[in-house]
Amino acid sequence: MERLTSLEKFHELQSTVRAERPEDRPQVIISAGTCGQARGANGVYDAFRDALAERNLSEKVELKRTGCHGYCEVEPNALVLPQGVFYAHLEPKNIAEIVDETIVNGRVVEKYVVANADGSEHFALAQELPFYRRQQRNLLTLNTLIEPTKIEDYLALDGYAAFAKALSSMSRPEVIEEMKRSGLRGRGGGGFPTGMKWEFCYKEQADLKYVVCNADEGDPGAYMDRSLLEGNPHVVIEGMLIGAYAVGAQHGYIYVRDEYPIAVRHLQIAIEQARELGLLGESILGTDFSFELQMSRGAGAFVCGEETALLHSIESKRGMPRQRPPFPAQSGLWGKPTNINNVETWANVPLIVNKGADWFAAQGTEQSKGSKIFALVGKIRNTGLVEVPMGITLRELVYDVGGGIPNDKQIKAVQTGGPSGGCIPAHLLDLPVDFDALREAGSIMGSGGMVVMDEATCMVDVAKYFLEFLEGESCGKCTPCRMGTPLMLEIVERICDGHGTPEDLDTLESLAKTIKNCSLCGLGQTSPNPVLSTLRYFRDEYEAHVYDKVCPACLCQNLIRYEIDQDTCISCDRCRKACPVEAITGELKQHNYYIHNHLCIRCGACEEQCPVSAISRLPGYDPPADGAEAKKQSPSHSTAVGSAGGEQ
Amino acid sequence: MDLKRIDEIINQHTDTHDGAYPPVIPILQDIQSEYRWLPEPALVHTAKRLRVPLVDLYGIATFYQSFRLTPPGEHQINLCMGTACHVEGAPLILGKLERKLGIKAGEVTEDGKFGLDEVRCVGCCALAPVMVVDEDYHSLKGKKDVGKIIDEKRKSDEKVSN
Amino acid sequence: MAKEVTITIDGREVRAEEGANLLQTARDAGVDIPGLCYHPKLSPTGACRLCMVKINGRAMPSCMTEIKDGMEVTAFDEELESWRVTGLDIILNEHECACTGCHMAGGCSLQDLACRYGLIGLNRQRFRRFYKEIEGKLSRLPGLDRLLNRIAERKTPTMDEPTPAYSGRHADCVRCGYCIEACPMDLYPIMIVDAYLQNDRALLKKLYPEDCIRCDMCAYCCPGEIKLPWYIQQAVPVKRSVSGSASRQTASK
Repeated sequence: MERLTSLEKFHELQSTVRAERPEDRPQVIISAGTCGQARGANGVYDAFRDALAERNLSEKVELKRTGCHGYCEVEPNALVLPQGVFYAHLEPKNIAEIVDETIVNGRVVEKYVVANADGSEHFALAQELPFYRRQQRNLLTLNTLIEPTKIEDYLALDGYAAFAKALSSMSRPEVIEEMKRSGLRGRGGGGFPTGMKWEFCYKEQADLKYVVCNADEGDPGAYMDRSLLEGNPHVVIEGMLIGAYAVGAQHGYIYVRDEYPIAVRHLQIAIEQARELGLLGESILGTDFSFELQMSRGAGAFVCGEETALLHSIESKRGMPRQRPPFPAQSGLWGKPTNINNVETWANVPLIVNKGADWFAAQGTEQSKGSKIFALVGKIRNTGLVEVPMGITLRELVYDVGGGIPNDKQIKAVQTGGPSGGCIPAHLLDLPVDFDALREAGSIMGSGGMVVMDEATCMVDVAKYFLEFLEGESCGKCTPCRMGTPLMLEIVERICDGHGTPEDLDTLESLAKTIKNCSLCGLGQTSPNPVLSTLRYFRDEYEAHVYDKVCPACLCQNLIRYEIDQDTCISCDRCRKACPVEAITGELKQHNYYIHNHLCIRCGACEEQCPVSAISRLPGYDPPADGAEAKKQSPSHSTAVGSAGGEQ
Repeated sequence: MDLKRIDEIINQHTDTHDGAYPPVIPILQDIQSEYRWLPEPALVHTAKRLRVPLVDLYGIATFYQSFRLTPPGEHQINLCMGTACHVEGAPLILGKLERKLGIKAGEVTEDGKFGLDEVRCVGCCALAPVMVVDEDYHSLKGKKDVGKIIDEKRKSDEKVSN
Repeated sequence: MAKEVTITIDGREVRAEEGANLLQTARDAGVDIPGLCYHPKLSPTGACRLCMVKINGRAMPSCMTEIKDGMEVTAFDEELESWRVTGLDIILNEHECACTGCHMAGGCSLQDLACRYGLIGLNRQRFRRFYKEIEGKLSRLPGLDRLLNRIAERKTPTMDEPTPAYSGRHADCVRCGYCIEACPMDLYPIMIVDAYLQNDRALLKKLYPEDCIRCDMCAYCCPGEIKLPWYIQQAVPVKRSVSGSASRQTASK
């Protein structure tokens, strides 16, 4: 493609690609993000390609692979346009039928369509699906329509038009003002007003300025940014172009997590294509604005999601945070003023410039405008990525969009904000999801990770899980985080092992307060959140572990026992054979099978093997007559700490 | 150890880089892509070429989790320990894998065939719990048998070599 | 010449230089804010978090803060002190509290702070665990070997007394210059040792042994394994008795 040397040439190209892509043309679109591919989307794509070729339809029907459509639960899925039929749970062997019935004859094949829980209703069209109905897919819509490695697809759907508009008809202060009026707040978790952040950087006088995209997405269970980068990398580039123009930056970096190879590849291709067209480089679109963009790959450190640590990592140093002030807007990359924003924040920028600050500010709540992408995972029927207006309640998210809890279980909590967040209990499900309501409830919205937990989840174990994670990810610089987090972990581990004392709960709280207030960076400052929020809402579970030595959720290894229900047991010997430590005795058909709890390592193999579900986990460890302690499980990371500090 | 290859990798980065501090992290990442780990001779040579203290390179290699200072197994098994996988029972599966392979997470079997690692979130939460063997994603939902997956991998290896 | 401004610390007005280090200024004014990782000669890092103060209500580490006109600093209040106690407790939890046998005893900032906040004597749990371990195993008392060394070294070596090769004493110096090259504070360790042993106080005055930060780099590099830091520490009180405690930095202004 030819380099665009002027605004006119840009609009010409836009008209050309639009004309080549009439909206009602026949298309088959396969959702092929990392999760889609993991489930076999590529095989489905190949099957479509072959089936279309066999019927000589390759020229008539556009087949494409896009980024994630968001409905991960039913992948591999395909969208057939222009009808809008949504097929789910596809396998290569189904495809020939679909091509014949739907593409050739225009009929819906009901067995491949999403049904509701009891099968009474079928939803043939994507827009009818309960999963999509309540969403506000400002950003994710394009994920469904564009091929991420084709810049033309993006251009045809108003791609880079916002940048062209800003560059040609808005002054830099006007762009910043539009950002401020929109009310956009950082989507990475901090929630800082974006317009204000840009203004700080804009005001600095310097010969060199930078803009950076934080694509580190370290929260486990969150993959919103990955889907945006895999499915629509150009929207991030466009956002950064607008931001660079506004603050006066000449150089930009996208810091991508190493664990996202497809995102890295798609970004590389996108940057090359943009450069080829002259949207990156010198004298963009014939103006005096020049901007170069580079990628910087992370190397596996959660703390590098913190902005000062991220900057050090781009500088090829150890990713250790530093004290702020000075803030990156004053002194960032190599000491120059730097504006850092999250992927989703940048992605919202072109929309706001195109459709206006008022359009954006009309969505959401008073203090939290616009829409937000969440990764709804865990014990939920419709696992996936959802984009909803701010202010939607947790209840709507879990039940209307998420489809509720599977396996007839009861919801216990929704964990938001990743390791920096907390757990919202079931009785607070009517809370609106926005920055402030969640913070008041003791959690944070964070980057968008939302893990649904049911009655089989032990909340003390959840605290332990996050503390283990944070202990490993602590950079080690400041004492409260480096030494305090392992101390909190030690106490919670002791509680999970049945060696907790009442004083432990008080120690936890005082440790948590100090760590929260004194840590150097956000990782340390928020590391007590999982403990504090679970203590606040699930103190009864902690107390059961401490006083009764029982795990009510039947999870903590040392506080449960496995028992065979003699009435149900059919004496088939499977459990005894499955046991790796020979803790089950019994003879075939003699109905004398028994699990010796003091030998049992609670691995669950017997429960899995039992064909009649005669083995169940019960709360409370039943010590044998000689009072032997429960055997310790040996997975590497959940070793019980012995009697350290156990002296009373 | 083919130091010429290391030089090529370093030159690729230093030729295009004009900052004061050398791009150590991208260089180490490329060395690791080539060898699947960071062998000591490679690090020593890199330190010499970049005129950076060796201890600085070790500082970076030990800080970031993607860098390996020990060789991996022929097949790397990565068990996802993200939040969604955790609530779906990943710790119990880790125990099973450790018993099956006879090693702990972070180690490699004696015959060098399998290495076991915990990873935090591969972002496929709809498949939770997830185990990645080399580049293949396996969903262990519904209590799938990890032992079988490993046995099949071993069998297919034997078929290839026969 | 930097601008002089006025700030308040715990209600008290203090005159200070704009842009100066808040922790150092406070300490100079007699407000003893605790801190372990701060050293006046090294750039501050803000790692130990014990020096946290509240500036206009916001909690900040004072070692990383520059003085601005009109700053209102709270250095001591109930909350800050509770954070300090917990922070110290966290540090002491990992620390082998063997004060009775440790050669740093008496000159140890951690010990000073632990005593100040009442954590050493009262931490029976920690000490009980420690004593239980050494019951009957006196020979494994950490620091005992160091204690014994000190006793042995109490005999001051002189130039006349013959010493065996590499005894760790001054006579083993081969004039390689490594200690001078290694010193991060730009001191001349071997010259300090010479001056001390010859009781050359005039020379000692110019060599600033009190600037030694006890990093032990000189001892590490010394091929004769001379215990340079030990000698330098001996020289410090001698130097102080000669010229008060003016350090190089203030002397040069």
